[in-house]
Amino acid sequence: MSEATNPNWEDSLPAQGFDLTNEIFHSILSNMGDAVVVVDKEGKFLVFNRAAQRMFGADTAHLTLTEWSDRQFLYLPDKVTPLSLDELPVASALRGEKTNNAELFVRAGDFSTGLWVRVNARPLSNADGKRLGAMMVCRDISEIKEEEFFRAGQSRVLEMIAADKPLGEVLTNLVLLMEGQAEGLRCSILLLGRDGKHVRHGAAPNLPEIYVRAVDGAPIGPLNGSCGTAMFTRRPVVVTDVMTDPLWANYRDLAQISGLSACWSTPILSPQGKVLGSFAMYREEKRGPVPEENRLTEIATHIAGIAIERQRQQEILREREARISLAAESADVAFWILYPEENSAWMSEKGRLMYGFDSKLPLTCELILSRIHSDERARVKETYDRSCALHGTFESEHRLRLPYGKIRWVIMRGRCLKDEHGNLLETIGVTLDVSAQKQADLQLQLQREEMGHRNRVSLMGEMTASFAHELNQPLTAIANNASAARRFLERGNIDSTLLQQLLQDMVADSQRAGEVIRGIRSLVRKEKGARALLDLNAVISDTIRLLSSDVLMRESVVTPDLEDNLPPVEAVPVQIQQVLLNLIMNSLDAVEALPPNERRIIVSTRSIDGQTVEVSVRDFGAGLPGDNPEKVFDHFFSTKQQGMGMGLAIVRSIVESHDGTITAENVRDGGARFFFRLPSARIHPKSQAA
Amino acid sequence: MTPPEKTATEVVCLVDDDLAILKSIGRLLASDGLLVRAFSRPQDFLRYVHVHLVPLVVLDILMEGMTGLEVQAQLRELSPSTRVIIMTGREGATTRSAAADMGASAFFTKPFDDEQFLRAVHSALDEHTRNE
Repeated sequence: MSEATNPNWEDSLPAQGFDLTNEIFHSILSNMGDAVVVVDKEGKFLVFNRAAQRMFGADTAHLTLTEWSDRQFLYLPDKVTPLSLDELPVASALRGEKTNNAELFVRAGDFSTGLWVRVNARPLSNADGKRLGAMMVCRDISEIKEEEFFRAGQSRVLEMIAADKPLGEVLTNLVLLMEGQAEGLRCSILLLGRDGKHVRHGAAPNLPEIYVRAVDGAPIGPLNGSCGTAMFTRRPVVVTDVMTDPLWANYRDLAQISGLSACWSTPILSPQGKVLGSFAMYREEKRGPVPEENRLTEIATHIAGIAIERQRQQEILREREARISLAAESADVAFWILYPEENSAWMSEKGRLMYGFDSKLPLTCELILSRIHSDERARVKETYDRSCALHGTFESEHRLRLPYGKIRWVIMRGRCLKDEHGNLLETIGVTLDVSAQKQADLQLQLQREEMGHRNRVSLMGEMTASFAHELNQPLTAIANNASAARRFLERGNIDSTLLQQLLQDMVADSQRAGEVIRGIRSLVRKEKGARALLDLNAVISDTIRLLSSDVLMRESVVTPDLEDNLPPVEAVPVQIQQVLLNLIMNSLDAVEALPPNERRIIVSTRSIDGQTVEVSVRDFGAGLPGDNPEKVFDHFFSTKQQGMGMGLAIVRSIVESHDGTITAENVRDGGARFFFRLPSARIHPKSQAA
Repeated sequence: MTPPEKTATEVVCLVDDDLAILKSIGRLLASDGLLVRAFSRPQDFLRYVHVHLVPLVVLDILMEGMTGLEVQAQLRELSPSTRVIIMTGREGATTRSAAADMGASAFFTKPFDDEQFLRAVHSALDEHTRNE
């Protein structure tokens, strides 16, 4: 029985003294794909099969292990560090160490590029344990390794995409990876421009620059090279000979300079089927793609599609972000996000400035809340909680109190984002700084009050006749009564009843004079006074009486036409009187040019549905500017020589500050009519009963 | 048209639409021993003139319905001999000269000096008597 057929032939090896003459055994060794090397304990090769000779060179079979090591066949996986004699798996096996599945790189004369091997080695001993030699088996795993590297390469490119590396860099890496998969292969990626009609350079690291430049910006179309045509037709285009193919008619010179003969291009599509670009393979020989190349194309277009699509999305996002941040930067808007669950918050730089937070300070919802003015904090918090629960949106105008006491007026607007169960995830929103506007509003209000005061003072200047008359009458009566009393006393014939009446009248007249003075003072006083329940009919009657002398002097007639039982309004008395004085004085001016018997003014009141009270002042003058009667309410609009153009503007602002409206119109049968409406006061049951 | 025959009572008439003025001037005139007839509406006075002899009227200028100057103008037709004293709350050269043009005896701006006023009243009454 031959040793080679013995299933335990290894056990009998020592007894046979390495008799390897067995035919079958020899045949197996010769035909197996793995390299098998056996050395004796002196390091001399006993077996160096055909596969080993292919792997390391036929001439190396006769070397000693030391000589073999000096030739540097085996390298660590870095491909550049050769294994020393001691590190050789056979050498360590001679020392009694096993090597299991070590992956090493082999570089030998025949293999300029080298190959990958998986190495197993073990010592060989006889039954007594005496070491006789060592055996090493090397299996060529280059193909598996290449595939592994190719996959790793793809992963690397995908990682670059995920890390948002520049598109050019990603595509260049992708092209290099593909080119590395086949000898003599060159590739390029072109992008379809935003207009969808022209190509843009993507990546072509191994094509001449002149070629790249010529292609960049070229139009796509049915006859525009491989790539332009592929993008246009959305189908792969295989050109085996660019020198004869009509698609390349315009690019032949370029192809010749670049040494290109065949070009196969495949469109890169987005998941939605939109053409993003094309991936092309070039070869110097005239041929079509082999299946392996088709497989590479499939992988390349898939990865390139992901990269380009992502970059497009990023561009859209970036543009949107740029627009938003531009708007935010220019509009003094703070952006913020509140995460109530984890009590954290994010705020834009502008926002941190607005709220007075250091740019590194970690933010919490409480911290933001703490900046709200203490007078308003509870109210804002309550509004926020309620609005978020009810409508999912929130708006509040309030003050912020910054460190060192600075106050800011802001408007805060937010929107709540909830999960599918309705739990609040976050609130995103903006805060607008309206301090400047508030400041301007306050300033404007001060100016308005100042203008209102000046208007009242100037009205009084126009009403001197009335004031003089109003004061003169009681003063004259007092003087006359006093003179009469003195005379009666001198004559000694005074009747005590008469004297009493006389003195009573003097008291009444001095009170009347006092009233006039009080009226004047209330008109010139700077502060406007408080609101009170007012009977507009009474205010109108008083005002007409106050003006009566001027009306008489101007030979005009002011007729009241007042509705009975007019509901009261809540208003500042002096301001309503100011409105009436302005309107009546204006009307007096408007009728001045008419003959005296036509100088009529009607002041009327009426109640509308009990909700609103309307006061109208109507004259029979020339009327208002026809095109736009409302223009009379504008500041500095005046038809009068001396007018400042402030009166009616002030009238409107007073009426509006009482939640009322004022209108000017021309009446069909002549003259102008101004009417203002004020909401009637809601009377409490108590005062209604009174 | 002939005016109706007038009674011969000599009273000073007073026209002013302000009751306080009316009463106080009436008392001032009365304190000097004069008979006074007071009117708060000029129309009432003009009706009175139709049937009474009026030697003197003290007229306010600014009155509702009719000014003192209008009353004076009508008076010239109705009773040319009636002397007129004009009172006003506001001094005005035009009014003063218009009143003088129509033959007013005196012009007073309220408030006025009682002595001067009474002197003017008496001199107007004397004037009227002399002319009768």
